[in-house]
Amino acid sequence: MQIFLWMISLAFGLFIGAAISLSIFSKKLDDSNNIGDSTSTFDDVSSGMVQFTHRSTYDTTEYKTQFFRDHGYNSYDRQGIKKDNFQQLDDNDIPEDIPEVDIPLFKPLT
Amino acid sequence: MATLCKNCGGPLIFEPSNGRMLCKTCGSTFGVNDIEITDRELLEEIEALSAKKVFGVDDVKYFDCNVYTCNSCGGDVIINNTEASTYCMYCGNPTIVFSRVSKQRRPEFILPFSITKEQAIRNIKATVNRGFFVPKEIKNFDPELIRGIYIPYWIIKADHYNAAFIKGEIVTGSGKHKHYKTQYYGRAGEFHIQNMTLDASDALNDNSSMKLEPFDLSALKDFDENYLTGFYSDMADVTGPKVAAAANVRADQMFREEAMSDVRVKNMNVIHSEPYTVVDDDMIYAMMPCWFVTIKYKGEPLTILVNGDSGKVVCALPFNKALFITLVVITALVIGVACAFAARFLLSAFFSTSSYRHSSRSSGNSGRLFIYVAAAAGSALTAAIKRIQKVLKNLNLTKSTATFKYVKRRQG
Repeated sequence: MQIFLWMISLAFGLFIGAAISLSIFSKKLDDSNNIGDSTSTFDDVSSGMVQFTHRSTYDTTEYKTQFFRDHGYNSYDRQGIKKDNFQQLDDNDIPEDIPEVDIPLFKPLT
Repeated sequence: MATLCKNCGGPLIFEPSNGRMLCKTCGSTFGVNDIEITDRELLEEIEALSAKKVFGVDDVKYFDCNVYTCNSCGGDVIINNTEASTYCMYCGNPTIVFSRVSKQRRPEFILPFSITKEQAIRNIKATVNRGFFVPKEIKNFDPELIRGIYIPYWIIKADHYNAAFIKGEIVTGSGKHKHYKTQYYGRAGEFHIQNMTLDASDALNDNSSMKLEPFDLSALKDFDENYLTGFYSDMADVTGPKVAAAANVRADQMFREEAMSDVRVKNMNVIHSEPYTVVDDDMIYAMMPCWFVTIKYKGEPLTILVNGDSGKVVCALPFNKALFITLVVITALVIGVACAFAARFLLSAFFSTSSYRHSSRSSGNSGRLFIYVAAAAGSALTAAIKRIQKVLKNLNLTKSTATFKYVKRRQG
């Protein structure tokens, strides 16, 4: 019984130790080697807050379909939101996609 | 075509340190707007060739590119489909290809380089040297390839509409009747996007270019070819629908975060959302500066990006695995043994008290404590693993051969 309790304690302790240790050093690794890992935030690109037009709370997921039918993508037509994007941008202005090139096209400086 | 010095006729380049045009031959400097580009008429003489003419073959490996004659040394300068400015491969003179700029949609604005090549290297060294797990070979790096490239961007305004279905947990009851209950939340709404910058170069990975943000849009200048001299640059090759799709993905991510902060319950995640973005017609086409610095580590190229205006360094670097594993194992063992003794003590208390009928309350408390601690450790472990996976994923971006090719395919 004593050995069994020690085994359980050791397994539990090592699990906690591994979790704490990995948590500490993964944060340190992130700070140390993952440099400049940030981008613009909502505040940088928006002119205010999100205007929530609908808020609801449900006990089950069965209302999900109804929620998206009323407020999701298919409702945007009814609400007059959908528009033809990019009629102003003529694709002829922009070159075709560049094919992959595996050989250097340019001579190095000598 | 180089912009030439009024005093000696030497080529002028844009100097980021003072924002002026510099003649490297006689040292004269000029304001960007004081220089008249007089060589535009020479465009008539520029000869554009097909790949077949350049290489003497008609092979699928080659793609059509244009060849222009350098007016400094007479050498042929080869330009790919999207490059707007480049260097002459023979004499190293900065050359602007006016035909490329004028035939494509002309950028409206440019954010000129304000960080010099030397400052970019200093920024990288300062950042890398602070890295605890960065290997010594990287800390003492010698740049193999340095390119200052103007990346094309779209600056957009848009209206974003979205509906998100969120799953979360609320606490009900108190004391021993306290328990978690799953709830679902619907949030629909809209917000206006202004000044979102989107990389307009197909060849550059969006995940890399996004991290160069934010750009100081208040420092944008009216586009002038003179700013391009001394640097490389690309024209936009991302089409309108792709811009809308990219804006939609980024705005969706922002809406999800805002919707979750509106709900504020435990263990939230968005099950599903239906985003829609209407981009305004007046998209702005601008060029943003970036230094691409390639270093080699264990034979592999690593491309580090530096925002040419703010100096922000973007990369994920390989780490000293032996040091990382050693520290993790030693710390885990020390904490683990201490926790094992604590657990052994609690288990003894649990078994000794549970043998008495009247002590079921304290044994129940010990059992709950074990469960709570194990659950907290489990979530900490999951978060740590996700963090390491994120570093490894970003490391793949730094090692990306696509980014390396994007930089290397430029001559010089």
